[in-house]
Amino acid sequence: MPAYRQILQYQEDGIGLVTAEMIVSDTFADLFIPAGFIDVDIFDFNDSVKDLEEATGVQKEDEFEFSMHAAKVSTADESACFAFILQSESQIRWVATFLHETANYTSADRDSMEFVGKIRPSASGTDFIWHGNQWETDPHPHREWKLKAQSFGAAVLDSINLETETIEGVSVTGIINQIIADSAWVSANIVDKQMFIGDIVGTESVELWILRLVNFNSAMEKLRVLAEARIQETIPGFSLVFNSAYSGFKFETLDYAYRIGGGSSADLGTYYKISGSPSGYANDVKIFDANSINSPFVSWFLFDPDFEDNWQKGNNDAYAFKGRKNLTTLLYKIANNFGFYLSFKYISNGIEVTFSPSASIVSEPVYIKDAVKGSINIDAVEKSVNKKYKGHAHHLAVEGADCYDVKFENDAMMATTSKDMVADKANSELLPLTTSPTFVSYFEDRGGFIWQRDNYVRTYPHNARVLIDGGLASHDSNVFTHTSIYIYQGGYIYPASSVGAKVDGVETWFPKIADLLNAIQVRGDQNYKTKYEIEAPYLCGFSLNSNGSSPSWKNLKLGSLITLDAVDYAVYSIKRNYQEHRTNIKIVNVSKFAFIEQAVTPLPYSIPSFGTLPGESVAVPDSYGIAGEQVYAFNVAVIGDDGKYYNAQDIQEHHHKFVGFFLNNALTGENVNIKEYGDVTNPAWHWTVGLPVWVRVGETTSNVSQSPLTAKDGSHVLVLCVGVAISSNTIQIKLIRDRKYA
Amino acid sequence: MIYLKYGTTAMSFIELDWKSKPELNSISGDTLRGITFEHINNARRNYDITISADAIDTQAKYDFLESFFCNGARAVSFDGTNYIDVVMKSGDFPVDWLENARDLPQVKFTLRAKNPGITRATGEQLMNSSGL
Repeated sequence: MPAYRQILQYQEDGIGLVTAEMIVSDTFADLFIPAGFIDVDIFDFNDSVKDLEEATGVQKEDEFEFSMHAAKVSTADESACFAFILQSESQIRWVATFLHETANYTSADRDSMEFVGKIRPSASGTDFIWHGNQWETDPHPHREWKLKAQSFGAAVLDSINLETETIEGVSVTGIINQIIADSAWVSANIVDKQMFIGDIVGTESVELWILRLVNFNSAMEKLRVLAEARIQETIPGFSLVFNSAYSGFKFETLDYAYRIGGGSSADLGTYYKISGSPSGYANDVKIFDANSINSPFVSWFLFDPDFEDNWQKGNNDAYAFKGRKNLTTLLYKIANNFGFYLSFKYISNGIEVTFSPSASIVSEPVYIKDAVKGSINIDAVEKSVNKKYKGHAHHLAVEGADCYDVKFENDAMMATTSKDMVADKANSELLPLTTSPTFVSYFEDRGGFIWQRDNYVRTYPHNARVLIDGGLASHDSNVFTHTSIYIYQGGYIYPASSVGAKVDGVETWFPKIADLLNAIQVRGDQNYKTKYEIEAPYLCGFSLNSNGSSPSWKNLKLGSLITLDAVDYAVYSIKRNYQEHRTNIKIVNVSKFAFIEQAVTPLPYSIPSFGTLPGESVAVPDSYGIAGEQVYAFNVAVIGDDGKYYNAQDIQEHHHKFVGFFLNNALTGENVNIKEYGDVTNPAWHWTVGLPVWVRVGETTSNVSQSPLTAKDGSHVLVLCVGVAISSNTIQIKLIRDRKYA
Repeated sequence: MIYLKYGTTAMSFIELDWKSKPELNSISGDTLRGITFEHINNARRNYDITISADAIDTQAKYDFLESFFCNGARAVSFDGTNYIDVVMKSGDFPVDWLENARDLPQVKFTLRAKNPGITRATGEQLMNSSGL
């Protein structure tokens, strides 16, 4: 088990002797044994890179780049080391770098570790010399190889496959497959949870159960145990720790869940309220704590799309967690879903995976000794119209309070909405989990295989078992995957219907997680428009004190605050070049107006975790775009297939196209601002407070109304409820219903 | 007297002259504030050596010097015991012929210490107690 070491020393101006150590071994523990190394001199240390994703603040994988040159090989040990490194193509080669700032240091001291990871199984090389005669086929080139190492945490978890795969000719069971195969665990953890029980006034007694749920934290704990055992096969004694944390987001549930149809087409906006349900309650969600009552629940079909041989299993695969590349990817996706910042921290023979609310990225101020380069870019303050994130409840319903129709029981004929969702998938990233209180409506059975398509017998939540007056309703087999986060509250389970985050100290609710994440993207664009890149000719010239005392490379971290000319910036990229002894830093201004020297607020990383965002008023648009026709302020806006914005109408073509409210008039081709979430106020409105607001056409001055479409009327088929009047002239934007008559 | 060696082949010469001077390898520049910084990577010793035609009095000695030039694993010693690993600049063999006489070759070259010194990369300790 060789462990090779190379050291690089230099005298840093103002610091003294600095020693960079690079240690390579095939045994992880050997990286940290401070003796017995075989010293070599074949490597060039290049860059060590640590980055946050600019828009979201999510940490990317740390990387360390180095090269090795065959011409430097002059001893048998160096030759062996050279070959040893190249074996990283097929074998694990761990690498750690240490940066010591004192003349007397302890080799492989964890406190001075700058990077630890695994050499990637890919490399690029350049030949400098060929040997032998012309035409010979074995020139034995002298080659310089460039290699990269990925950070330890990601490297270890990258190797954990979720789905069973054939890796290097060997079938490796995915850890999710391992859970599925653990029938005892499945039996003990897959549960049906009661959603509602009580009397619907004047009609009947109803009991609702949401079927085939799993405590999300219990499932993650099971994944953790299996992943830890897998890693221990390579690294004995390894510990994988998941630190529990409260989400950066809060979740709300609906207060209605069930509707009885009958007669002519009913008012689709009238649903029976569940007395005592926690609507509007800002539910905290805690992740990685299997014992917490704040654990979310999710559909078990996300783990096992083939569970119970359900009749939609072919369509479940696209939403299955197994589809993620590996455990690292899954953790990143989940972190994003719950408003977390994901970090991997090396601990003694193990790693801690921590989800932190995004605001905690920001750390203490740091002072830079000096710089040799500084370049600043200030772009126009604009907002992107791109929507990176989309959510689907499943293949028939989008995220939000969507509704889909079925004929009867498990008959496969449905009034699908999937056609509308194809475009979503093309250019967007689908979220693994959503806020989707999806409903399913059953057509009236007229007998003889005829169903009354504009009349619904009942409407109730997806994946629900319905007991009416004590008996099992006949509509109980419609059970398949669903991406909603379910909140367990007061002994009952509810699908999350909206997600909240504080904006400028004010709780703001978004109907979908995708909306919130896209809003983060937009805000990120605002705040990152002023970018500053600094090259400091030091590795160690960073102090926590304004007098420059105790400088150290360790003081500079992702998220460090740097103040320059009274403007606060946050570090989002660090690149240390060992060979050139320099540090390249990318920092971002938190204020979009910093370049005109207005007062700024030190608020880096504008993730809307509670209490961290700059001001927001109802007049501030959330996006902008190009009007596809003449549009009017305070009309409801939809987005067309051409990416332009139109006045919403209650027609089939506008199903699932709701965006928000226009904030200004615009002619065709002109820019128009759009309010997508929060409240919108129009002095000209006179609403009845507390009632929902619907998209209608035929109104004289507006396309919004408090009178819903109650029956199909020619081309008027869309029942689109876009918010609730919270005052006579203010609407709280909230997508409550987006469905159409068949 | 100097002792030259490549691989395991060694030979001594009475040099006409040799001088030693340090070579410093550093990264320096001016910051945006105009302050100069200098990071010292390493310092090593160079040896300028001239071997006169008198000392190259046999074909074997001349051949050795050519082989010394063309082979790796070179070393130089000033006491015949303690050898210092050295490298040479590539290029033409550094020979001049005095008075353009073919039998009066004078070889003049610079040997560069392979290792930067006892205290590696430490500018303050450039020489040992012998001044080498």
